[in-house]
Amino acid sequence: MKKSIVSVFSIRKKEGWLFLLGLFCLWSIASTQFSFDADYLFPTPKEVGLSLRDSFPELWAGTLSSFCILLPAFLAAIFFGTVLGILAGTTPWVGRLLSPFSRFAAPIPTTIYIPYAIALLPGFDTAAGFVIFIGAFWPIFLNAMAGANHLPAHFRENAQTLELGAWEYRLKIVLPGALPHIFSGIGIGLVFSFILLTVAELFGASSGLGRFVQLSADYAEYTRMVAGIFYVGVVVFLCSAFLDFLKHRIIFWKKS
Amino acid sequence: MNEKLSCRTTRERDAIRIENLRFSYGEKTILRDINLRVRSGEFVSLLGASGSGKTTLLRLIAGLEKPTAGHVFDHGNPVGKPSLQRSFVFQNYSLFPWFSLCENIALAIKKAHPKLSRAERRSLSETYLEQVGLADASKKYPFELSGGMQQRGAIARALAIGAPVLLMDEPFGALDPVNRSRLQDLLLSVWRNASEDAKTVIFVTHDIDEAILLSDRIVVLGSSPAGIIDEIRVDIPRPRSRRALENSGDFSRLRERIQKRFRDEINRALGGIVNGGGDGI
Repeated sequence: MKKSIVSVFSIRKKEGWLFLLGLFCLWSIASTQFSFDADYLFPTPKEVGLSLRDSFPELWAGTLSSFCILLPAFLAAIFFGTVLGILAGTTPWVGRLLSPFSRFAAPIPTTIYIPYAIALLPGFDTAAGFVIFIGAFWPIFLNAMAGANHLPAHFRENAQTLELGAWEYRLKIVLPGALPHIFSGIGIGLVFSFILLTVAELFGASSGLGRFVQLSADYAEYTRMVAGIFYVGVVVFLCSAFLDFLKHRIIFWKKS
Repeated sequence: MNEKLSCRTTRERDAIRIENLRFSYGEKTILRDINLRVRSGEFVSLLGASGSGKTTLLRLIAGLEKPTAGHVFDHGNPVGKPSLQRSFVFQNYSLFPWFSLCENIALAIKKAHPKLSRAERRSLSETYLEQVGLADASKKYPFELSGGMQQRGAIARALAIGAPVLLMDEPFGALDPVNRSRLQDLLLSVWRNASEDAKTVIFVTHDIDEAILLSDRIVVLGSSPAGIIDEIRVDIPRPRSRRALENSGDFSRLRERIQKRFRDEINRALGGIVNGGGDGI
């Protein structure tokens, strides 16, 4: 019954591994066997690997600094998105209050706030945190609201026959019932927040993962840049896998 | 003292009384001209084919639906919304999947008996689980249990609430025959033991044999728009054993009568095209 964290990370299907291996071979052959005018733009796997090893301390420091911005904003988005989403999904007047605003505000591409946030808010970290919060908030809020709205009728009726109070109903019935929706919102929010973080760091950070990639580009060190992109990919993958692991742990009653 | 007194006075009256009830869903009339009295402590089955509105009638009694016209009274009080005074056993959704059996029942106890401490609730819920043969499964979650065990849990929850009226919506409809008869026996034994509290049961089913085995009275509903087409008193003495029933003339006569009712109903619905044939549902 206990699901190990390893099983979430592993790619179980043979086809998936073969495809990855094929891609790697293709890259390896293309970068070593053929010669381009701009060969420095297209490093070999070996060069990227070495660069990854050399810049690892710097990348690790960048990860920590990025997470210091991302994590508080992301957690705040989870909290407010879930609470407000469930309120809006269970209380008709809150839903009516928030619905026109969310329809207008949610589709605005959050990247567009970045320059304004940087100008408006004190310090880069606050600005980036704010933008990440907005970007992650909407998918979580909208999914939590949908989850509360689409709660199967039998849960509601069952709660009614028990005469559950309004808050007890929200906390003990609607929240767990909406968790699958909330987790898909959190998954989307996680990817959004990484996009926003790296984009924001391109604008004006002094450290961080996006900053690392931007700096490598500025100095035309494309091997380092590709290594940085790889590294970010791995970090986001690990975060999603961890989220998946949490999801299976928390929504234990749903069989995958 | 006062509670006991009021209990005694209400016991004289009908547990459930339905007057001139009609229920429409949009343009479509589902139920009409329903008049029904259920005595306190009586076991009544609502029997009918799918679409006969029997579940709707039960939901109206529970307060999960509002009648288009007419009234439902619970011990003389008009039914407005669902209440702990009438506990409902759903076909298979009575337990919340994110709570263990014990937690599910403790939640019901907490609402029904708010004065009990946490520890008292726990031990009480263990007691009820024991009564339905689930003592060892109290820490388990519904998804870890078979359909039969889940329905045992649902019965334990209904007992824990201790409502004077128990409404059951095809509670054994999704079970295999062996589990079904076990749960019928369990239900009968808890019902007999609970007769001191004048436990009234209204039981929805489409299974004629089940209705005869369990009930004091069978209310037969016709097809949509449905009304009560027959009310049959089952005078077979209790405790009823399944084997004795099958060999008894009373049982066959009742079954025959109900099947004929259903045939007549089909004929009426089809305008007399079908003659005889078929055996009810």
